[in-house]
Amino acid sequence: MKNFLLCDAAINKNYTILNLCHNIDIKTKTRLLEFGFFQGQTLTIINKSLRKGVLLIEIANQLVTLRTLEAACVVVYG
Amino acid sequence: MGEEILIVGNPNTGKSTFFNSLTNMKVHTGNFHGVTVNFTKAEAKIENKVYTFVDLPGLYSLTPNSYEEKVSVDYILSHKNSKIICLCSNQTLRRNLLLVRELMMLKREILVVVNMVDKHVTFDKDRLEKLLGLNTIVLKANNKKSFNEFFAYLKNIKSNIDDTNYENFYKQKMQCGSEYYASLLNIKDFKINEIYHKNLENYIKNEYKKIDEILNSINYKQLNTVGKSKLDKILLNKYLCLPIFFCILIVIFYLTFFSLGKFLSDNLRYLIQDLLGKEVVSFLVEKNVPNFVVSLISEGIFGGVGSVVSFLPQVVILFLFLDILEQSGYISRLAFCLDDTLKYVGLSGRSVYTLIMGFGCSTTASLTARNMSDNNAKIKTALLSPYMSCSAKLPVYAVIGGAFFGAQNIVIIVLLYILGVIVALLMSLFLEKTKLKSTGQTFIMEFPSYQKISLKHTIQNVWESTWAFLIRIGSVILSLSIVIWLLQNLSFSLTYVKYSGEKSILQVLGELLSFVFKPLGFSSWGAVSALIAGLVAKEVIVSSIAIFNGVNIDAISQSIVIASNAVFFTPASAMSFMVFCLLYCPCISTIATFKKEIGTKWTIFSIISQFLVAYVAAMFTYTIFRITELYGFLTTFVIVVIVAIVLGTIIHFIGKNKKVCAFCSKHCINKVHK
Repeated sequence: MKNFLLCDAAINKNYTILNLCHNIDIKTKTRLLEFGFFQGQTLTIINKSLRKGVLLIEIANQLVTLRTLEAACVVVYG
Repeated sequence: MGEEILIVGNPNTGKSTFFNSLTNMKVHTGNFHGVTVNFTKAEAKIENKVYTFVDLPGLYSLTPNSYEEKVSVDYILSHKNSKIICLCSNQTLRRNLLLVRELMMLKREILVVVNMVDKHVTFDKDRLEKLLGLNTIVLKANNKKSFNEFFAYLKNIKSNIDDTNYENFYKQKMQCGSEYYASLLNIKDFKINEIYHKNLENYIKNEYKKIDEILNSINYKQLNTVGKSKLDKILLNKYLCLPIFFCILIVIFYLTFFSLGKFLSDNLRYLIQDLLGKEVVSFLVEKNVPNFVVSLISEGIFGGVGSVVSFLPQVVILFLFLDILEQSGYISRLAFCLDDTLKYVGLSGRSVYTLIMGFGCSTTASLTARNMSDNNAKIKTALLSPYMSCSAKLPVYAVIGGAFFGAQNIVIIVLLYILGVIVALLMSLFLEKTKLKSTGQTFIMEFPSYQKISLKHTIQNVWESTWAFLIRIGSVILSLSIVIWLLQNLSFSLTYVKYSGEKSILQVLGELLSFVFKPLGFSSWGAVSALIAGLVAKEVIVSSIAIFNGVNIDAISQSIVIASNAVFFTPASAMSFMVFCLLYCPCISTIATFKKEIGTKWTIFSIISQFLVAYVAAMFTYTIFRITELYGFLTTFVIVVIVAIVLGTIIHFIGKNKKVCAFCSKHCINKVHK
């Protein structure tokens, strides 16, 4: 088990969210939480865009697009 | 006015479709979150009782994250006696229930309507109703036949007992709420600290825990992941996504401007000019109607308005393709593919929707900028929408480009569209580096499933856009064509210039301003006057040219190559004129929308900056074409390469950012954070 920033996670592997970083802005945090990004939730990276700047994530049976800046605010382990 | 019922729900759950089915309205619908950016009201008579339904923009919770979400929250909270229908999609019920539970904190009559988007999803509806303690109905938003249970509910709807103490409600929410609640309660020293973050996280986590318990109890079974498709292996492939997008654009342009679009336009032109126009004029001559009136109808109405109407098929085809892109779910894929590139100029994938809609109409496109999450991004995205080549500019390229470039005009048109996009991106970069720096622009977006194109919705959406275009022709363009014809045929002493030999009012004004456009290569009074008229609506440019040159629809292209005519171009000045038309000041309706959406200061900025940008770009184009005419292609190519290198270097240094770790906000080399 190793901790990663979400943006460093590999495609098509399952990860579990460890936490959301403390220093993200409240708007981003609220939206992340509303989409189900909280401790214990599992997710899979489905795709990364050309410069790996944006991730396509499967979380709670839904695909969500997330930019790296926000993805960096999520710590996962797997 | 009937009892007011608000249709609330997460984005892209089918609220506008449900609203349209109920009220027979034709509100724009699409397969992208944030299509609805303002509320729409309409009355419907159901079983002899009148109800007022309100379609609100989508929201995820009562914590607004963008302007359009704030519109919804403000409306819900300020209309205390309205009943609420919370529309949920059966595909995303888990997240939808988060909003339902938040709405339950308001003491309102709430009905949960589950839209059966995916037939493979199953759950126990009665159990859900019992667990929520709210009336729950299952239906299909696009099928009125499934509304029986809903209509029965309306009959027995309870009156609202709204005694919510909002102050207590907000204070309770402040434990986990947001700056928005603080502003409502006028709490000036509200601070977001770690405890607040923790409260928020615990609150939503607990809510999801309760929702998961409910979903387990109702045997909620979802077989497919929403948004997942094998097609995305190709469409979202990092090397193929952009080439595929460009291929799609080329196919759209080819079908719109050539083949199908051209065939239909030519036939419509024949109908208007050769059949209808000639018949009407010969009838008027037979009846001895004065020459002045015959000329007004022949040149002003059939020449002016007819020249724009004949492009209707091409406009309809363009709207049709934009709607197909929107309905299919492809625009969300584009947002994913282009966010990488757009973030370098201070935009996000969300801006893609506004920019693509800009190809249809700048006015409606600028309204969609409301779904940006911060104000700077909203202003910036709105300001960029007029740089996209809207459908009103299409006749200009077809008439002027067609006269000089023949079959190669499709290349010129594609280049003009690309130029519009490039200039928009450069302007965005300029704004990002100066006054409108993005402030924590969030890019989190749900990915919708691909959707089969609904013929009914496509026809409805295309008809709405086409009808708006026809209304503009019947009102603004018809009246302006008549005014322009009068100004072109009357002198300042109000005599008919064909008999008096005096200069017309427009000729005098055009000649007065023509020196401004001399460096751009088109200084004829007709071309200058057409540009001034185009400030009202871009379609008027072509109708003005027809009126000034005194020709019918068929002969506009041939007339602009004759030096003795009021509007005359060379290949270089024609290119320069088209570039100027592409980029110069937005039309009146866009200006009015800008004033409302982004304020007077930025509206004035838009008008001035677009004029300057258009002027510089047109002068540059004219110079390049003149050098090519005088010294050949090779010399021009070398000059362009040198200029591109110099500009590229400048942009590279402007855009250079120090990379900061998003995790710890420092120059960090660690990959693993604990």
